[in-house]
Amino acid sequence: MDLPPPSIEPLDGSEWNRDHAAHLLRRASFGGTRNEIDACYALGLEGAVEHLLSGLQPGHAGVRDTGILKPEALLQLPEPYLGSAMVGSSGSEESIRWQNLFTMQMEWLKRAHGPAAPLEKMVMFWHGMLTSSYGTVGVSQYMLQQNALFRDQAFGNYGRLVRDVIVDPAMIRYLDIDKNRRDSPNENFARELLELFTLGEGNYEPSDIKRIAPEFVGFRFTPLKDDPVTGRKASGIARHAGHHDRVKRISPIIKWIFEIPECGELLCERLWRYYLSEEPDPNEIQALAQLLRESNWNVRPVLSELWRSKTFYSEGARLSQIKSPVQLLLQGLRELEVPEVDERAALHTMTRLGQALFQPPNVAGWPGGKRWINTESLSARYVLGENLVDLASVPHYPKGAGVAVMTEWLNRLNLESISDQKRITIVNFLDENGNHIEQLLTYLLCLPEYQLC
Amino acid sequence: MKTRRDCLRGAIVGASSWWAVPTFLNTTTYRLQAQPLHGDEDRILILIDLDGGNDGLNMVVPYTNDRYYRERETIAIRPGQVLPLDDNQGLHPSLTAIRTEFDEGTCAVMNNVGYPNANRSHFRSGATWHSGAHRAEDLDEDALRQGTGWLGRFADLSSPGSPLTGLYSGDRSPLALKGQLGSAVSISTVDQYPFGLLALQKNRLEDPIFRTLQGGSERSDHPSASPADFLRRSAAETFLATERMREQMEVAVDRKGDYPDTGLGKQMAEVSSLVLSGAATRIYYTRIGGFDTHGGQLDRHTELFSEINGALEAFITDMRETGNWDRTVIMTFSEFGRQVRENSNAGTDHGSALPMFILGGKVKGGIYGKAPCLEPGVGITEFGGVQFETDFRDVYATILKSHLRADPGDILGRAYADLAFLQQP
Repeated sequence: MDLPPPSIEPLDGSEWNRDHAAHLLRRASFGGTRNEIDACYALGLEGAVEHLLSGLQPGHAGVRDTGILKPEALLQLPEPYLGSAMVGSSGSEESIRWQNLFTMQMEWLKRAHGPAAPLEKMVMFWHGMLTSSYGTVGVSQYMLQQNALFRDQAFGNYGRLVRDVIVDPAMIRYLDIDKNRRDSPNENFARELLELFTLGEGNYEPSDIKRIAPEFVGFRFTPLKDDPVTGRKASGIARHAGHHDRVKRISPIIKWIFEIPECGELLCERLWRYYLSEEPDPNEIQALAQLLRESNWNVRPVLSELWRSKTFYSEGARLSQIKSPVQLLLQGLRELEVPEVDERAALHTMTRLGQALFQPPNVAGWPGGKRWINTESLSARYVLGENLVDLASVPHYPKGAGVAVMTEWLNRLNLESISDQKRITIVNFLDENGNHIEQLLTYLLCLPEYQLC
Repeated sequence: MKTRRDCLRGAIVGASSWWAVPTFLNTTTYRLQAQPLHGDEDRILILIDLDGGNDGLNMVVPYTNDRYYRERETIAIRPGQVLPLDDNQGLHPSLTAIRTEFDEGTCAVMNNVGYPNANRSHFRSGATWHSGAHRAEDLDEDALRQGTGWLGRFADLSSPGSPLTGLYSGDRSPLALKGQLGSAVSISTVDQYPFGLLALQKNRLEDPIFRTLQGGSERSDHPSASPADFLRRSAAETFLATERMREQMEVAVDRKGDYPDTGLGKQMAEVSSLVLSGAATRIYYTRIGGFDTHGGQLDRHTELFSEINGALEAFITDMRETGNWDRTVIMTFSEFGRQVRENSNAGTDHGSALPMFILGGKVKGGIYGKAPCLEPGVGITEFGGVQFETDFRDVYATILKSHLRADPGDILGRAYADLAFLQQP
């Protein structure tokens, strides 16, 4: 099938340089080590984008790990699931839930710090858009099952993913679909489906919610049961009875939604904000949405277009994003070439910086942008910066190498835009303190400018 | 003899001398530095956000309305249980402290508060209430992401650039307190003391290299500042404000109230400490979540209202006994009320209008507006919620004008009615 003529101007491949490669890795992935940036540059623009869309970091080949997260520790822990949310449970149950949550978070972060970083970044996109929260869902297995669905279809078909995620147990519990009764349909899910998952505010009528809500009546499933004797968790994720029936029943609604002309704009705008900048260009969003529709709702061509576009590499796009907490953590680890995700740094990121994976603040996901920053989150970001420096093994530099040291690290940490006054301050510090690189890095990772991507 | 405020002032001015205050902060009135609240500007406002959409009909119960009992066979509050306010309405049995204030004449119950064409999305409707935007339609995506709140705009006008005008508790910065020039500071920063944040900041702030590296552009207070400018400004605000907060929290206070060990109880205890310490903060935002009662509402509501009641009782005791009650207004709100008819899960779904409580020494107590009429087509919206009669922006305007002494038009974008539930200055 011929794709429509590109409506978005691509970057001229001959302009491709190492800085472009580093920028692409920061945005399409969680940054890169020096080797990964070199490998990405060597692939050229087209090759690099194609490689990233396979879900892998440049410099890594082979089969990506696509399965469900299987935190071993989780299977050892009883799940105090009694149908209630995290709040209001007794102390020990709550502490087990937090343990379970952190175990899942660590497992995901480890994967995102591995070769499949670009894939995991896309999985996190879906998690932030088609949200569910462990605190409400209450069953870690359901959260992991949903997570696997996002991974399986990360660069796949938007329409299919929306369909599959809403017949999946996590979403059914999260948005009370199972509390839907014929005589008084619960509208929670119908509203979020239209407002946040597909059409966006203004592209449907309030009466549409009333109309489609009854279609989700009777979505029920039997929760997995723990073994009452051994206390071991039910293992394996089986499809629940009625799955195919549910898919069949909602197909007309999905069809109706995806035939509305504005459908797709919301997704493209979210992708733009996630990968490019906080200021979507309405014309380019239209063009991307058209491409999405013409490619039969496949996300891959849209991302390919976006990541190759001139706008993506423009001055206006560079340093235009405020790093999400996960980005700050993982990009920092890659820039400092720390091979493992440190538990303490991860826990700090999850609890104090405002982005606890598997636990979005509400069904709209994380608002992002400037909303990441407030007094305490910025303080906590600086604490994370210090933690990261502690984890890095820092090379030894010869005496008097102040300018060279500074130049290298400003490049590696994407800080080349800082003011001359700050550069002078840094060089003076290095001149006076010899090779106190840890202290230098602490200063750099605690810069306001280091929060930018 | 020096007063506590004088000592505080001296300590803070002294402590600030080593800090190179960024130009944009230096040129504004940095309140806490030298000017404790005084005269007209000593009024404080405490918000309690009942997050999730509070079922107002089970908070202020229309206990003589047959239709209420017909629509709610499972979850109605029985007439014998309510704390009657008049012949039509009574309070949820847990709300004894509100009842006491009502009897004292210092609690206004505002009936049926909402706005036209109420949205029933938590985020949209919450953003509408927080922003005080003059039309809900004005709130496009960008406004939601980067918009300002009614009290943030108040802070912009009354004390530009001062991050301590508004404080909130918790880790979610509320839109209500976000201004164009800055946003509120979280009290939780102080809670984080064991994490070493404040200690870290103190060490850092005394390091001249660190300070230089935090600095930046002069343009950073411009509304359209770049992300880098925004971050440099945030960093400066963070450090200044945190340092001031730390000093403020070190002022010893003698709280009288007996605060329950609950989320809201702790929040209100912190607010009380700050008020009693003479803080220059005028707006405090507290939040209690869990009001999205799609199921099992009765028990949940009892827990939530008991938590509110315990916290309020202690806080009001503090304010009364320390002579602060007359300068205090407490306001409860929520993003929407719930539908009149219960659902099949012993809960209620998203609705529209709901009652608000306004408490304070200068509040003219009583019930404002009629008890909700629950007749279909008259008092119930197309989507099953309570029809609104009082615009929430009228409530805001009244508080802005008669309590905070600001011009409501400047903040809300147009004139709104004065509902006269506050004694005139």
